[in-house]
Amino acid sequence: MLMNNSGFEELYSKQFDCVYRYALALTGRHALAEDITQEAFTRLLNNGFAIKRIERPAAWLMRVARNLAMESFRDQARARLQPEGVIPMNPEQLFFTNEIQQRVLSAVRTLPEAQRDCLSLREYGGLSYEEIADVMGISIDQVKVQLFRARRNLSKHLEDLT
Amino acid sequence: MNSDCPQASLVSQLIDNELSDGERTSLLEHVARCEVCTREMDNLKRLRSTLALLSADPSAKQRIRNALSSKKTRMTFAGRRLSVPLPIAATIMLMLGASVIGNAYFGFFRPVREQIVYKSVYLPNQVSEPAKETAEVKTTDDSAARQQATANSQSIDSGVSRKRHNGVNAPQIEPGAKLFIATLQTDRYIAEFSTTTKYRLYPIPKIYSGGLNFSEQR
Repeated sequence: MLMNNSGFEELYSKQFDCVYRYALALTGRHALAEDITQEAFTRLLNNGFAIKRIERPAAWLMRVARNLAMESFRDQARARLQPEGVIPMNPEQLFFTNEIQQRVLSAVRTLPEAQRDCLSLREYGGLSYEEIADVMGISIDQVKVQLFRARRNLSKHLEDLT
Repeated sequence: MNSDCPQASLVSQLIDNELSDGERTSLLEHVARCEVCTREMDNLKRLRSTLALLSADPSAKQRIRNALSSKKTRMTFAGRRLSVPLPIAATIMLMLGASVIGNAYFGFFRPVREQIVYKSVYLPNQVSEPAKETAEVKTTDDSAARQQATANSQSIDSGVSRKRHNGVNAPQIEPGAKLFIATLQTDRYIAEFSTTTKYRLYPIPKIYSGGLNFSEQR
């Protein structure tokens, strides 16, 4: 993919929501999701000439976002903060986040890490099974199993909403 | 969600469009007959709709875009970060590259006479308008030799050349953009190249809008 101004603009417009929502599903915090999204696109820009050699920019961005989320979890663990669960939002965030979104986010956050990661990469990142397997370093069969289990578990949590 | 039917686990792959055409057709025929799988498919579709309700902060997109725009292009040298305007940095890098490639291509490692011309050009916003050039900055005062050399030059595709920068044959450069043009001239060859940075947001890839051309002196 040859990256130029319009190429980056197109990628940013297309992938912003995917990266942000994936990061949000992983971290449960809008502020952290925003930081991760900005850093992921910054790293894409900083790749300079190497950018055009990235075959799957969407998967590349998700991998960077995933690594950044993992780093934030490690930082939180060092600071003795609990990464699980949903962090309460500030008033500004509550302005655009309604109760249903909170329910969805809470339900996604209850999933085991692998299931949550798989489901988020698929539903929010829009990646194929092959790309998910590549990003997570697991087999495609494992992706199928994790997705099936994640959806089964989520359906129970969100039964009244679905 | 019920998974009493052994085929129910495949419905997840069906809604993800991850089945082959044959598998998809076969499963759809099965779903039409199987109450469990029909319910499974309806459940998964509703779940997908519910999950889609999780949205990004609508103001974050513009906020991040602005933050990306404000980032400066930086170069590193000897472990230290240097803040260098991109056109100058790119010109220096291309000049060094052109010198190496030109010398290697023409088989001369010691140019007898060398001159560097640096200028910037504002491309016209419309085809009918003339390009506005700034004054040329030369490292040596050898314009007569340069003009003679340019008049007698013959374009040679060096294998690394891109499109020329004269504004007419460079449709990939936006009208109104500012071009930075540098020319390295020796008594054996001329190397010329250009960069443009109309948008500060994506400076490095924009270098590809410029070009590098070699001409042999006669």
